[in-house]
Amino acid sequence: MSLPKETERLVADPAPGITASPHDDNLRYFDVTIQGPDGSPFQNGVFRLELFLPEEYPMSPPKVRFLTKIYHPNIDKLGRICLDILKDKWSPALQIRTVLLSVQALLSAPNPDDPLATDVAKHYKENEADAQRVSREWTEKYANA
Amino acid sequence: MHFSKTYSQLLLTLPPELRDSAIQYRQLKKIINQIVAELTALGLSPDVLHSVVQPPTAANDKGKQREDSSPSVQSTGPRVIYELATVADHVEPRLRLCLEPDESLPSDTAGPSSLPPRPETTITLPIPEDIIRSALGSGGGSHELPDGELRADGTSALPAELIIPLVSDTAFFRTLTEALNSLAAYLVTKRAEFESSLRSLSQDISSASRPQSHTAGFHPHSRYSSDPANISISSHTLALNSRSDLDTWRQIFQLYMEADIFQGHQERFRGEREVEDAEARLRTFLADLNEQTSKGTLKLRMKQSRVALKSFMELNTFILDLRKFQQVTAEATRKILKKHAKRTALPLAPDLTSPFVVHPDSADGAVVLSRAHPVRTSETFTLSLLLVQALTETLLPIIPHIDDYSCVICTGLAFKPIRLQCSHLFCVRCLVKLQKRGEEHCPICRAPTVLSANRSNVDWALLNFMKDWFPLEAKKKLQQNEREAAEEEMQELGLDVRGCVVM
Repeated sequence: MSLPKETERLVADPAPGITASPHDDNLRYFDVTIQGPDGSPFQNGVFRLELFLPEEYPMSPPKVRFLTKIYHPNIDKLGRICLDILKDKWSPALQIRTVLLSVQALLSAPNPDDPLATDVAKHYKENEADAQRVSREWTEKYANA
Repeated sequence: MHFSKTYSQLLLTLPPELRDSAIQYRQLKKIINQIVAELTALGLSPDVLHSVVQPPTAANDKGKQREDSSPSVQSTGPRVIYELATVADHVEPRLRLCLEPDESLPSDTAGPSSLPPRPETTITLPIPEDIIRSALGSGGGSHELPDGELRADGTSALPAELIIPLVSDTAFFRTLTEALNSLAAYLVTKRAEFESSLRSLSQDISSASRPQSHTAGFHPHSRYSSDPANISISSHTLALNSRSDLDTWRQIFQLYMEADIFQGHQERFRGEREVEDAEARLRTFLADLNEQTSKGTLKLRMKQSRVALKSFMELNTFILDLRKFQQVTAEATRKILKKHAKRTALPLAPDLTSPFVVHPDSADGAVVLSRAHPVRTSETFTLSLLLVQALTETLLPIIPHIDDYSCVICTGLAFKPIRLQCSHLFCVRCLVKLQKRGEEHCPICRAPTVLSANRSNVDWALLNFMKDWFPLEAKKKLQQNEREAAEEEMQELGLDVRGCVVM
């Protein structure tokens, strides 16, 4: 029952740099875009994601995945995201909006100490500048709006 | 191009009382012509003035010239300074003539034989000598004599400085300031009127939106000793009070807030809207109201409510008219000052303080002729914005909003309300779900308060408040909770209620 109300607000008053629109035939499935935050290697990129609300939402977290390729230590080749609030730190008081804001924040603050893409994390830890260069290249190559 | 025409046309769309207190643009334009005539009689036609006038200085910084004025102009030839002296309570524009170079300047730049660096510096003032003499002759009387002294060597010699008061220009500023001042006074009375109609409107809406406790069947004190899990809220206590428009006013205010007429509250746009935008939004709001009324989904039962709604719309329309008027007055003031500068070649006078800008510390709103204080903008408000705030702050809180009493998990009314030890509030249904999942932590603050919650955590005061103010929502939520609980029970018994079950 809470679904339409939350969706309504999400569509009517989106957070800056984030869009989310539900599929017509499945209101639990959302097409999402997130703009790379300014000052990050993902700046000027527009990343596409998919978001799915399981039956138990909001008791269980939404499932979120990057569709656009991204060079980030906490996001793997399949677009899966390592973010605590999407796993064990989920709270039913969180919403789609807050989840997407957290994902956007993750782009500004990669955390190579808690990696999902181990090779990217290693690169980030050993030579951050070079790793950021690759992130920028990937952004330009894959996330060009 | 023809602003005066656009101006009068725009004023015609406003209520007559606003129109009557508008700035007389045409009249001011005529005065500008008189100023030009007066200046020309002085031999200071706009062309001449253009070349000799220095930027205006406030009358009290005599002698201190602006640092950015060209030194070549200062060094040789006569200089004319346009200043606005404040005499008693009005502004007196005047021209200060400096016929000698500043003594402070190095003498080599002022050498008479050297070629002047700019042609305009060589202009000799074509002021007829009799005018200068008359200015001098009367100087001892009504006019303030400059610090410049008469030359010691001759009676016919001219002083280093002389001041010419500008009569028509004084009239111009007096007319303009008086217009703005009377406008300010008018706005003060309008504001008081607005506030008093707002107060009575607020009382009308309050009495038309009675909560349930005004009916005989309402029992504010629930039976504490009884089992809270089985509090029965019979449907008749939650039936709508037929003598209250509570729910309708809630609908109206909801529509009003969604229309976001004068100020944006969204992520994408915050702050005061453009007049055209606000006007369109007000129209949409009215159309929505009419549509819902004709569909029968919005019904005001009491006559009192219908009168109140009319008054509510009038207050909104007044704010909109005020916004339009504010915009056109600001434009007229700006244009007339610009025209004044352009036609007379006297430098642009400093901005006038708008009568629409309300300083929180000064209630009278008198117009001061002063340079703009950009620093002050953070603490000033336009009158229309203040009225919008008064309107929303007075009326909207009359009816409690569901968002303030909703469960963050299911976003419905948090009915029945459970208050955890960490003081966070959830509906009983969501709390039971959390407990069944073995979730220990409060969804808001993560304190380990969920599993220890029991019947003693029902917030009775809030429960009664909700029954009182949200009778429809509470009833709906209760039914929904019961349905959900029943479904859940069936599922726990191994029956899927959603599919077709053949026994």
